[in-house]
Amino acid sequence: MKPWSVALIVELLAVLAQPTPEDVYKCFAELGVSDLQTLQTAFAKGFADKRITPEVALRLCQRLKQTAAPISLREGILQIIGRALLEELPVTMLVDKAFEGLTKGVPLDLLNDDLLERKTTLGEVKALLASKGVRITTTIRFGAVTLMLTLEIVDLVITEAAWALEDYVRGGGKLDDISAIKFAVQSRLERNPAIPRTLISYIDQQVSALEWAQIAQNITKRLKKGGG
Amino acid sequence: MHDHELENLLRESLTRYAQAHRDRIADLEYEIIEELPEGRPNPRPRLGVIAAGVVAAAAVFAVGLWIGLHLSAAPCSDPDVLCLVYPDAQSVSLAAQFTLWEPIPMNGPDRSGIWWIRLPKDIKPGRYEYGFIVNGTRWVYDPRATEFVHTFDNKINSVLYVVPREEREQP
Repeated sequence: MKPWSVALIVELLAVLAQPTPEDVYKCFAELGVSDLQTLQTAFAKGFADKRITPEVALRLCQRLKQTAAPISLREGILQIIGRALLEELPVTMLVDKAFEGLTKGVPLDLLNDDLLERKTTLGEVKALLASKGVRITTTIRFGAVTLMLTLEIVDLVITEAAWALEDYVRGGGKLDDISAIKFAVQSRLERNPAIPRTLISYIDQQVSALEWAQIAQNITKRLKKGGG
Repeated sequence: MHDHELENLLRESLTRYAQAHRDRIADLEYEIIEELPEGRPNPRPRLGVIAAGVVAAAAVFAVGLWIGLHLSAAPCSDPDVLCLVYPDAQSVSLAAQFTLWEPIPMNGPDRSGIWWIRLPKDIKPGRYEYGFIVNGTRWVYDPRATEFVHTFDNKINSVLYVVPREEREQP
């Protein structure tokens, strides 16, 4: 047997071993969710947009199945992620925090509140960046460079900026130091090698410290309200 | 004739006889065994002997592996390795974003009480939060990390930046 045919067979087996969306929906049904249809629609969109893979969704569902908590709270986590997918928000941070919370044994009511708060931040960051022209399938010009923005790049920027703001506020950063807030966001973007330098410079020029600070203040308000 | 002269004479004649009939003597052992009834001993190595050899080899390998993991120094100067000094721990695991926060057991402890784990080869460049779990329950941050963030219950996650492989391999 030739080496290329062995590689082809191995690759084929790997593809066949990958979970399918149907596996995920079956897991949702076994979990006993009350609104399977909405979840199915949301996650189907997420799979199509490549914002989440069936493998990760299945692992999250399986982890929720193993968790001893009322089904409404377990379903709540999936519903928050599902709503984010329907609203075309990146879900990397939400999925990651869900896994982290489950591993650390965070009570699921607190985890639901946490994810809901972070989802709101993602929405605010997306709206701010969109108002500056950072949107999917648009092109931006910075100096002599023209950059086509893909879903992957825009999602990454939204995620990193929202995450940086969350970390800043949760870490006790000063809200009146708007330069520090902007620096927290910009340095987070700069340290991610997958984000084009041109886009980082463009955001630095377009988004003011005050605009980032406004979102940080909103996070603070939500966390105080929720007791976080 | 003295005794020793007689002995030498006998030895020489026996040697000459043996050399003359060497062809007949060769394989005599096998011929005798063939003549024996059922249940005769098998001159080839038996399965039990092979199994014992395999077990012994596996034991030597396991001891070598144990010595390698416990007595050799943890490769903490390698940027692809995460280390934690915790001599009293019974077990230490790594939980990180790139493991979907599933605990992965770490190697060790070495002779200095250091636990260590190598990052996955296929890890993508980027920013990752992580923590160590000592004895299955206690979350510990990495004192060697260059960045920390607050997480649930105001606890702390360590942060790791994975740079592209080309940059890592530059001198």
